[in-house]
Amino acid sequence: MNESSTPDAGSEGEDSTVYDQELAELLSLAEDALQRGEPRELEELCQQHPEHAEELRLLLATARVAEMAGDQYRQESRGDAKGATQLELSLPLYLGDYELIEEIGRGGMGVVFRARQVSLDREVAVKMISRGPLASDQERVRFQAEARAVAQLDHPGIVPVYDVGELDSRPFFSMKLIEGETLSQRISRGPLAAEEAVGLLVQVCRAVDYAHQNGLLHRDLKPSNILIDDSGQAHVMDFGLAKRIDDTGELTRSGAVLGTPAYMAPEQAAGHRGEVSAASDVYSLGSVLYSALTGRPPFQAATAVDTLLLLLEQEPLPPRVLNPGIDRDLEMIVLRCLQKPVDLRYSSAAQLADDLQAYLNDEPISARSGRFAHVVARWLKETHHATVLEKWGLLWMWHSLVLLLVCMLTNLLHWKDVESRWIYFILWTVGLGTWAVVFWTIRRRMGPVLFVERQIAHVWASSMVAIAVLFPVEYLLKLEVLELAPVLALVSGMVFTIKAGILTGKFYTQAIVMFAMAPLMARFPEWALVIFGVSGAGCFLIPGWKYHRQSLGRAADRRRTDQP
Amino acid sequence: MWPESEKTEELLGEAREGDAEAVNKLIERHQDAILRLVRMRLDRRIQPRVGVSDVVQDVFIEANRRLQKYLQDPVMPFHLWLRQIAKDRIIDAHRRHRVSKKRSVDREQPAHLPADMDHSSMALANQLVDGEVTPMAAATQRELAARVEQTIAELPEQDRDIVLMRHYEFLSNQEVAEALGLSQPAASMRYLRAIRRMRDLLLVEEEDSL
Repeated sequence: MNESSTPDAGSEGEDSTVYDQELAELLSLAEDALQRGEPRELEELCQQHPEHAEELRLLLATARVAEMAGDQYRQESRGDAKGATQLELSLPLYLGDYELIEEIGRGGMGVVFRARQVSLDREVAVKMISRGPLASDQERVRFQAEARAVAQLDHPGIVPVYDVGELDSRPFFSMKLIEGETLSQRISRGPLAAEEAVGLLVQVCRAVDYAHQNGLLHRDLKPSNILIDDSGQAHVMDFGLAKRIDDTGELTRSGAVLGTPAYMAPEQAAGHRGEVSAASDVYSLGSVLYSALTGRPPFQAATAVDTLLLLLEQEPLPPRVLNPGIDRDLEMIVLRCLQKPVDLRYSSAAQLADDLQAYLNDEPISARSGRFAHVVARWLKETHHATVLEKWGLLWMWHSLVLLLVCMLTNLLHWKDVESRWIYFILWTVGLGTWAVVFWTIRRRMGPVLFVERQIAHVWASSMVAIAVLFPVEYLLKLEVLELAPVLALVSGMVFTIKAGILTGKFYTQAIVMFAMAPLMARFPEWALVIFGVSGAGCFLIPGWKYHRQSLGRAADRRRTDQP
Repeated sequence: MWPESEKTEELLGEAREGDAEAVNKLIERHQDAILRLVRMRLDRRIQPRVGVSDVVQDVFIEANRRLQKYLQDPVMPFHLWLRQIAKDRIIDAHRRHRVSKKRSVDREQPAHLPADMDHSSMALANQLVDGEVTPMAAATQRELAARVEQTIAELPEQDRDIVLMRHYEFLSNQEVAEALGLSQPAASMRYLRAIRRMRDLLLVEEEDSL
């Protein structure tokens, strides 16, 4: 697991010393360049020293983490360098009506203090922006939005906000002081018993649902935002990223991914802001339940990109794998929340709460009902992978043309009584192979290739191999060339069946069409390749056109939302 | 972190000619940097007893006392010289208050921080690094910074020192080598080891805290 040790460390001391020394120099060079603000140099260094490139990148990632923290430190201390930090020093500190007593938490965008409200003589919690007067306008706007939004809510499961104010241009608000611990502190001591976890989650769901009813999304539900008081009541706090559901305001215009990826819904992580809804909070509730039951969030990886890819592409490990003591029904509930397509999740936090309550009462849960219509609908609908087709749309339209041309040419040669197996063989291997290389090169230029695309590429490649092997098979069976042509349709049918499973159930249509063409091609051998070419091209052209248009539409959307 | 050197050289020249105002300016220019350095490295447990600003003041008093000698024989660039004094003053403060220098970095952390971190900081950091999700929420950055500082605090002394020099004081490899009295290859090697260890620690924490 120690990725950062040198490949040859330990085997030969000499070599690894030389290797390390080179690497050390490169690292220092790259870091110096970064400090001077010339990040480009890294690429050059990596190209010049491919043997070090991989580790260099890993190490520089760590270095940049440190650098970022250093920057942060510098920024924070810049404004208050003269008077030392206001928020660290000289407590108790009077802030209008409040006497700040001690710092009790730091996170989100603020620092939380235990405080006494002098006029009413009561203990409260006061949250302030920690960066003080330096707070950016955006930060301040968000802070006030947070306070205003939460102040509207009145629910036992939501930490109530009392008062919003500003002192020396430093905004703060006071809220009820709740003694207890956060769920993440609780989880850090080990997974919760199922009943305990579910009991808490029911409360949290009711609170979140109440907020949803009032037009507020939380957007950043995670264990550290859930306080458990001494009586076991859960309180949701830090609606820091909350935003009115119907508000199309400026706050998150910048496209920043707000929230904590480990608990975020995929549509949120992917930055599809328009698609973030109450169901995204339902997803996060599922993540919270998952981590309460298993002690870890549904997705975790060494790097963010990996975590993000996991989140976007993979199914989470079923909770029972991590904790076999979890009941099957409960697992169903969790997994239903964690469905990537929004419409397969619970449609509201209240529904989730009901199902959890049903589980507690040993009543049948709804997540279990695998209704037939549901199953069929699920078969036919697009999976969350289908969006990769947007990148493939145009390419598939070209692909259909290439396929058509190759088939027509083959049939033409056949009509001209060309007998040489080699010509056909070369056309179908070298010809189509060249196109495959071109296709893949273009695709790679468009950006990183996803796991699912590699799967599809494999299926495609295997179908090409199968087709190429048909020629020697024909020869060995002493068949005429192209006599096995109907097998092309069978192979294509299989390829589309697999695509249907991975991408969208609509491809079952293509699969059926291709399978149906095989006997037809066998019945009219003179026209076999024309039949295959036309039907095959159609099978690619239609979805290609659809997804190409979809991708154009999305690009237009993006341009529109990017306008200031 | 350190003010640019041309102006410093100019002021040093004037100071050498006996311009008292230049000396003041020199000190003023470096005050913030020294303050940050001290705050970062002075053990938090003794901060109630020894104020950061007290140490900073000591640094400049000491610098003032030794300035003439330095002006006659500038053994190293001014800012390296100044931070050397600062480090001596910090070691001195630690010695006087009998704390090991071990955890001088836990600047502003509650005693039990990791439980509340959301395990994703390394991940977020990588995102930042990749420049894919550029404007990260300020809050998350702050959590990340706290996490990094926690990790730095866990590093062995030598590693911690070089990481702070590189990333909190923004010194170049050459300056680090000079300040530590090492050759440049040796300094870069030490940095490599520190970063490797830091990466391991960050990844381990990532796993442990889950």
